[in-house]
Amino acid sequence: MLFTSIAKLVALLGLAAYSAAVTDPGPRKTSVLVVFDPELISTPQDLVSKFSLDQERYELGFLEYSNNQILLVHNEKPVFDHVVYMPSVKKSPAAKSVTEKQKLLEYLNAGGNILAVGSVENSVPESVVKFLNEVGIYPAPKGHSLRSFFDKEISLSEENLASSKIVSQLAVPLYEGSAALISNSELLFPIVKAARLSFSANSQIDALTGDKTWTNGEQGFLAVGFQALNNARAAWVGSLDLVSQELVEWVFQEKKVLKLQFTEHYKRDEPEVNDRTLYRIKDEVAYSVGVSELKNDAWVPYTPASEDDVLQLSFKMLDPYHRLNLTLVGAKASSENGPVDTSVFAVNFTIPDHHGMFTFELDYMREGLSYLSDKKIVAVRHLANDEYERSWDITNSWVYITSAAVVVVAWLLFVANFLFLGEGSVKRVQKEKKEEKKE
Amino acid sequence: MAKKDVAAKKASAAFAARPDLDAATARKPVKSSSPISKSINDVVAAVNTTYTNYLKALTPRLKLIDSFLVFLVALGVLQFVYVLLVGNFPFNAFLGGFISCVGQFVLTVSLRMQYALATQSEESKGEDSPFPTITPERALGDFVFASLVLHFIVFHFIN
Amino acid sequence: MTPSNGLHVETVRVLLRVVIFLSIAGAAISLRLFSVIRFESIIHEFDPWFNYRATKYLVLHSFYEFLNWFDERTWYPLGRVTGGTLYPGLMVTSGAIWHVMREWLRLPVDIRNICVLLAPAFSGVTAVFTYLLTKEMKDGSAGLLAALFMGIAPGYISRSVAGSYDNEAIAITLLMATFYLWIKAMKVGSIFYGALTALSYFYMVSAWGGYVFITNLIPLHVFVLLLMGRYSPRLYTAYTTWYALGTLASMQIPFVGFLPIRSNDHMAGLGVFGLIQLVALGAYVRSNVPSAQFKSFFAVSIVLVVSLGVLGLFALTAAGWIAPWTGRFYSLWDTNYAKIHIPIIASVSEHQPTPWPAIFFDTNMLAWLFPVGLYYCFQELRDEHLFIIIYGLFSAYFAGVMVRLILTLTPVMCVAGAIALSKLFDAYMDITDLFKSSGSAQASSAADSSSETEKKSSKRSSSKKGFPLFQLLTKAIVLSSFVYYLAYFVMHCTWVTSNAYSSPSVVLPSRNPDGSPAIIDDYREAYYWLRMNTPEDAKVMAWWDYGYQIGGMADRTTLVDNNTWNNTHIATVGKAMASSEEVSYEILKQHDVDYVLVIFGGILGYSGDDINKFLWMVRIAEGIWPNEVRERDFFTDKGEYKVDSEATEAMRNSLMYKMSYYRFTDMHNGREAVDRVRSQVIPSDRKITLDTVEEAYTTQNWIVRIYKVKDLDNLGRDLQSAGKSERQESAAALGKRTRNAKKPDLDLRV
Repeated sequence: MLFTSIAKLVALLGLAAYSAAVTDPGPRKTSVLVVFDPELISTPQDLVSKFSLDQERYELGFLEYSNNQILLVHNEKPVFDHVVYMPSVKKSPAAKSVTEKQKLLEYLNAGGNILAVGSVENSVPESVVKFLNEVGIYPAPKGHSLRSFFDKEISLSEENLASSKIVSQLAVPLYEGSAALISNSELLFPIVKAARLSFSANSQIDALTGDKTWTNGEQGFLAVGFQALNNARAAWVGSLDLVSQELVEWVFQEKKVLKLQFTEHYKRDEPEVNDRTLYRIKDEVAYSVGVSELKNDAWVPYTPASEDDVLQLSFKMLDPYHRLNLTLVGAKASSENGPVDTSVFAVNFTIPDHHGMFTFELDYMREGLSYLSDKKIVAVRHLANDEYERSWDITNSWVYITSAAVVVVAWLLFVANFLFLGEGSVKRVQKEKKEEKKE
Repeated sequence: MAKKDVAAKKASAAFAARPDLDAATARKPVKSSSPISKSINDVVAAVNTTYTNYLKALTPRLKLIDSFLVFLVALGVLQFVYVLLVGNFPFNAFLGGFISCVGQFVLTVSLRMQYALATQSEESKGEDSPFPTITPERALGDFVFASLVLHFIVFHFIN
Repeated sequence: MTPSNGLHVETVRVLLRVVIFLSIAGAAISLRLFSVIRFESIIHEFDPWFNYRATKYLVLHSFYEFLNWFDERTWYPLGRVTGGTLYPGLMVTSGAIWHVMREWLRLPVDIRNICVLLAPAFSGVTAVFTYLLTKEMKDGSAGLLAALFMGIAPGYISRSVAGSYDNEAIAITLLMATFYLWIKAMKVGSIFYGALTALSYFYMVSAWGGYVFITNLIPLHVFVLLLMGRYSPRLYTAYTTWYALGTLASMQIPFVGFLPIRSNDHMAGLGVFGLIQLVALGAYVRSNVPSAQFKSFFAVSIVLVVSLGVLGLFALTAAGWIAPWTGRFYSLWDTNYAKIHIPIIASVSEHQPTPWPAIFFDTNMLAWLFPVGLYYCFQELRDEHLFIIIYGLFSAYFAGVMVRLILTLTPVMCVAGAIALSKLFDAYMDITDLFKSSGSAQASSAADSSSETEKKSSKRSSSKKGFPLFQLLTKAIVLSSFVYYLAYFVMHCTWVTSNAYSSPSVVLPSRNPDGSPAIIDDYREAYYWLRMNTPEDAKVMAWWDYGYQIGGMADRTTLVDNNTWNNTHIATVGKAMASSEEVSYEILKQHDVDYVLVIFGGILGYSGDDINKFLWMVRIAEGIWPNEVRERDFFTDKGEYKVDSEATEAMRNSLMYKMSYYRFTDMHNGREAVDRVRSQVIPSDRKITLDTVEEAYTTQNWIVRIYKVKDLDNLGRDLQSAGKSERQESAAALGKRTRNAKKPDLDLRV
């Protein structure tokens, strides 16, 4: 193959394409590596149409499982934007550098996307399965197929869609493929589930027992999506039939991708000071975020699809003191003179009567969409000594103020009088006393 | 002491008689009459003597001091009643106002004592005079100083 | 005095006193500079770091900002209303000195040096006030002795060496000043002195929580005087002036607020204030009426007033107007109270009951001169002597209850000791009856400087024979033995100061293998690392002892610190330390903790480490979460506190244990890993793993270990399973293959 000999060059090319994509405003060209087994797929170019991989848009590379010369991650950056794993005959093929679990984890953590395709007879290599296990997907072992005693042929329709967020339509007249169990991880998005009366077991065995089946009924999944916390995406499908353009676009982060353009907060009476770090209790605060969505290679203002997808802000210190829905207030451009590409969501609220370190937390995790999260910590201080209501503002205290003032005035009068009475009186007193004594 | 004391004395005498009566009757009902009436008489007599002595010792300056004292007590009581009626919301203001009365009161009483005793001792020159080093002039100076401090703090406290 | 040369002698006397005084102050100050010479000009211990930080804030900002300072770098995320919860006296004092130096004297001094040297400077002032106070008690020579004692008594030095920039540093000075002014006011009966007492009291309130001691002592003094029938108009003047002004003034300190009229701790003052009004009234009436009449009048009013007062107090307390006595107050009466109810207070070593050796260690000969002095006071029993007696008895009791209160005992010990000693010297140095012919003015005047007199007396005894030698000999023996005691006292003080009280505890003295002195500087190393290598807003969790130091030296946000105002928050930290990693991690994340810092002495044998404090963390946490943290779980079946192979499950799983001994056995390279503090062997076969935190930094001697809290797992796994799978992976790399065809055990997906 072309690739096998000049692996490093391609790696560099991939990097070049990657960096070019950052600067180039036109449609982003991303690199895809397809790893396959020539024993199963003789002409990998056929996959191009199957995956609807437009040569204009993708830098395509094909790699045999026997080749161990390609790196997935270089300098902590993914060499390819996306990797597709096709089934392999060998359980542990030679291409360790692209199939080892640790390498895959590293690749995903660096932001690369992974699509793994299974089949009945042959699965992706065991180490890739181990990687899927870490994610929470447990594909049935080799030889297990999805079967049913009631239907000779299993067909998949809309009913089998576990959720329509990622793939909206499904029509597979005859499903031949594997099924998987999945964990309860919140980062997993089931896409296609097995029919209620189906199970997956080794096709050679007819007598079924609990420990010989892998999945039962709707606990079996045929296509599962996964989005890591860093928004890297991965998907596993039980058969090549389930690969659709919608799915590929989702895995390759071409749709349902959101971007947080900005978050800001300010005092309502001082809107010019953004992102202040110090508030006072009971301040009126405004908080707003800008979110864009990627559509057809361009950022456009994001509109939540339904009521449930509304963005929320929590204002919390250990516990949320406020949890507020943000409302869409309009769209604006994220950069000066740029196109209008950002929806602005905002909310106003009053800071609670409690001082401490509060967090403006935006945590937006919706099925199929990129996660948005943002934390801004601010200090909320108590009232300063001169910010309390002044005594003279409180009618009650007028009495006391007056009395204190009266005391002072009376005191002044007293001292003045006292002095005025003067020495004479002292002498008189003495005289009087002497007189008294004489008496 | 002061006029106020006399007034208070009368009140407390009236007060004092009752619990004593109750206590005594409860304990010793047989020989109750004579000690009680005696003690009441004593108290009344004490008040009377005090009052007459007081009037005798009165000089214009002392009179001035006493009227000032009465004024302060009246003001203090007024505020206290007010706080009971209205509630102590601006607590610091109440305290400021009230304590300024009380503080001024005790300062003035001290002044009066010093003054009265100092003027007395000027002639008698008794060795047992309680204020050996204090002259009337100094008493007044001290008094003014302390009062100034007091008023400063009070107004700082009120706000 | 002999009339012939009286003037001359007086001048000499004054001169001599001044010289002695200067040398006392000099001795007092230089004694306290040991720490600077031995180590460096550095702030000591824990609390002073906060005071220092606050002072810096004060000089960098305005007083107004200081007063309203909301400190967002401590008690994260609660923050601390620092301006309203501290005693600002100390900071304001040094801030004022700084401004004066800079703006008036044009001396560009560093605020740190002012802070370091403030305590020694004030100790000189304390000596002055001690002199004045003792002079009121007896005479000038006793005063000088007292000043000398005060200057060098270790009990006071312990809190006032250079660098121990603590509230007590100026509070003791103010304590003595207030007492002196009070005695003066009481003796003279002047409003002026009363007002001065109040002002000094106000300063004291602004500087130290111990002002409550004065608040109760002075009323008690007055009360006892009243009981003894020693009422006088002087007393009335002094007390009422002090109380009215002092109480009002003390309420100006934000931290004190309305406490003086709300809390029971302060009620004694109010009660005595009321009482003295009545007594004054009574005295006035008595002066005018016959005594028989007065008696019944007296009886009636007493019954009335007492019953009304007690009822009122109960009613107000019940109605919640007056706060009941606080916990610290109870712990003064019942030493076990704190242990049972408030572990946070009991956990402070300063709050432990005092052992006898400590008292002797801190006061030496004063410990036995003190009762003698009190006895002399009893003999004379003037009003002011009564004050010393009451002060002495109370502070002796309190000092027995809490170690730190030795501090308040020391001044009265000095005063009483000086009275006793000067009485003794008066008696034994009085050789006038022996030499009636010669002018003996010098001899008696030289009572201050004992050695001088000593010389003279010996000279004279040799020159004039035929005198009652026996008598002379007795005197000489007694005097010389006391001179010896005094000399020994000075030696002791110097020794104690240089060895026990001069260590900044931030820097530890030690010795190299060859015996040369060395310095263990792990704390500063770690704090410096934090300062340089962590983001400025990083939150550091450590046990509260180190809160002030982290804030002051590393300038990082802390969760808890030495201002232990929020027990729950401290218990949270205790829980995080005492729980297993899963539980701790949740707490760490909830509090946004970035780094965890532990103190570990196992390598060096430094016994003040966190494992030794660990039980307090457990106890305090148990107070809040009795179901989740149990002290019992940390003891073995035999009831022992073990960290070796017998350590309990809870112990081994606790975050504190893991962080302390993480990689401890690796360092010993197969040799027995002995913890040198607890002399126990840490088992090397049980490898300690940490999944939720990772080691970030460990200092040279392992005293401070800093761990970084890991982020959430990118794949959404919990960190334990992530760490586990990683370890399995590395085990697999070593050859152990794990089969993966087993069906996983998963919860139902909903």
